Amino acid sequence: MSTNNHTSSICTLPVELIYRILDTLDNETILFSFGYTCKRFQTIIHTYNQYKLNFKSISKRYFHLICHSIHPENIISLTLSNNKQTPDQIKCFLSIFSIQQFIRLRSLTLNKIDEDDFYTVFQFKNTISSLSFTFLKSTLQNSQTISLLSSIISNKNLRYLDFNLSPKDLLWSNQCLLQTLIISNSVNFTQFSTIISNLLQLKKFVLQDCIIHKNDIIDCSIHYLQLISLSFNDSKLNMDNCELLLCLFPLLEHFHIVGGDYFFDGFRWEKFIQKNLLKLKKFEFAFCGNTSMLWKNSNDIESLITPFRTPFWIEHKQWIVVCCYFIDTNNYTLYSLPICKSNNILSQNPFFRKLHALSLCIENEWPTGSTEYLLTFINLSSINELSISIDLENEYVLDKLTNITSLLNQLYNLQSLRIDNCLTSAEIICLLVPNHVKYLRTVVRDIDNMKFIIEQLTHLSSITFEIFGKMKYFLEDFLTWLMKKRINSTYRYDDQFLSIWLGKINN
Amino acid sequence: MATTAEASNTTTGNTETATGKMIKIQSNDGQIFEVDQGVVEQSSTIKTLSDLMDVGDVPIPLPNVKASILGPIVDFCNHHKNDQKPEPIDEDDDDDPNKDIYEPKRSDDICEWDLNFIKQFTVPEGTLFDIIMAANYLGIKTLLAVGCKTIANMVRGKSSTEVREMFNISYDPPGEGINAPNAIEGQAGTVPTTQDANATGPSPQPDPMNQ
Repeated sequence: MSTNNHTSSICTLPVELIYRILDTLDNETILFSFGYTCKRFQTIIHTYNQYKLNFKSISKRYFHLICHSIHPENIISLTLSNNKQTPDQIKCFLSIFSIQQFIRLRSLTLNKIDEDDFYTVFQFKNTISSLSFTFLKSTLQNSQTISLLSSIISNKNLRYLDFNLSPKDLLWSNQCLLQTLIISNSVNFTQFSTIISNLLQLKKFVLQDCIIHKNDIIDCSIHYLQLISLSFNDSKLNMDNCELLLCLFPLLEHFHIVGGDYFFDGFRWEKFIQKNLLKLKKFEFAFCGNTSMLWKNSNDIESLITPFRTPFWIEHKQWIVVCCYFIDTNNYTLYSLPICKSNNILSQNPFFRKLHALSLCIENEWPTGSTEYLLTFINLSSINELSISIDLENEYVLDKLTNITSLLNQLYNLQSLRIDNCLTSAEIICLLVPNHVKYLRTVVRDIDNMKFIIEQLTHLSSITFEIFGKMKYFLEDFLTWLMKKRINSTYRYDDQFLSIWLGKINN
Repeated sequence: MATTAEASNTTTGNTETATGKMIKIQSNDGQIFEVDQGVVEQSSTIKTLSDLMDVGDVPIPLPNVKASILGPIVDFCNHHKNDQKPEPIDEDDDDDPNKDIYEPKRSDDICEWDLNFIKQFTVPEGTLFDIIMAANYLGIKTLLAVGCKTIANMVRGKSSTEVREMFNISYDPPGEGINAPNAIEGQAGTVPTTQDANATGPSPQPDPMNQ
């Protein structure tokens, strides 16, 4: 855009364009690199008001650095988590900031929050438009929580809600303007119809399943025209009930279902969709079933997929369907491409190239060529979580160690490692954990082993020890030692697991 | 003297093609480009000007863009004119129900053609910033996004020293030089809306990512 010989530079970009660049940068780069380049950029990073903070897997050092560096009024999105990698983070955050300071906050995600802290947050915040939360305990402790949740739902600012409680007893006001509702739980048909008949603006509804009992009456003459996207992530519906439910939503554009073998009939789906779901553009599914006896003839297997290869599927809708048959278990899975989000059922079947979490159980010797075999159907560089269960005390120890190390070397993006073996020594654990791993979960023999691991693996940002036997009696001494060695660490001891978010090393 | 760019579509006068009426645009150094509706639709500035002015055969002047930048921009728009239009999103709408807007925006989604396109513009020559500013001036959102994401990709994970070296930024002491806040706010297109202008925090110093 120059009109003379002056050469443009990043310093000549107006501030609104610098903001656009910051929109696609991570917070660490913005705050600790870009902001330190010159005085102007330092000013800009403090006036930029579109920060999206996700503290889900952050190290304690960066957490405090970011909290210290950022102005709360510039944050629009915040994710806090009390999971095992960052125990007690939410309380820690609320001790630094008052939630009232976040005047621009519109999106809030709270993982495993204490009910008390939930009250602290929502005593003041009613401007959130997007809310996701899970509670630390699976059952509600405070009888008032349901009414608080009902009042949050009825807030006219709220457009997106994602939670994992049973919606039982929740009140769904017809004043509510929710557009997206995600319930990571099953609901019964009464709850389902209450929600759908009250949320008049609801466009997208995601749930585990809708449970329909024999006595439930589904009135197909009623249509809910607002809904365009419906997902059942783990459905046990049969085809008849599924069809009855779908008839309620004639304007559905997207349907996602993961379920059992009731749905394998492609001809029936074709007929039903052509008659009742004329707007359906996207049909994502995975149906898992069992043939009860081994099908050796490829024509038998072919018969599963043939109904999904008519002109309706391939040419008209361009929905491509794949069938996997596992000869060792007689299981099959019919699924649409691209593969829809994995869930419990699907994760049992290892046919995903882009898995991010992998679990390996090695009972005896390390199978020859197993890493190469894994490479044929999994992209190892996509894995960021590995759980490995292995006996390192019996024979083949050296062979196993060599092979695990070789495998770990290929997992470039591994962040989280779980090693399950109560007999593994701390020295071996320390040998196995690569430097790029940030979170370790393991079983240890005693308190000394815990201390050894913390002292040796200084690159970890958090760790979970599985405590057993008499070790719990020595925990107090261990925690005193920990607070001296790693300043400001936070921890949670819960159900035999001691999770520590490691603070600064005390030199 | 105005010259008609050879790279422009081969039409003459006030012509119409299969994609509609051809419009002439003129760079600040006098070069004229003929573009069709498919290109015009991608630039909110050109579209507004052509709607407001009954330009006929008169070229629309674009005083902030030189020919060496406008030519490639026309190429970019010609390449993308048949792209599927994205869903309209009001970027300034805080109440947008779509949770994705609160996720960090991706910068690894630049298509191969755009990656190759943006490679012709460089930091030392300043043309990378010229194309970004021209895209902003012309209101071409897709090109602006490609330019800004390219800069973001260059900066990501680098230390402040590396960023300074990469963009030849002088490390000016507070309150002096081209990067001083007063000098900067004069150049800036917008004024900070929320923060006390004096609340600039500590002076730049070695950053944690250098350690």
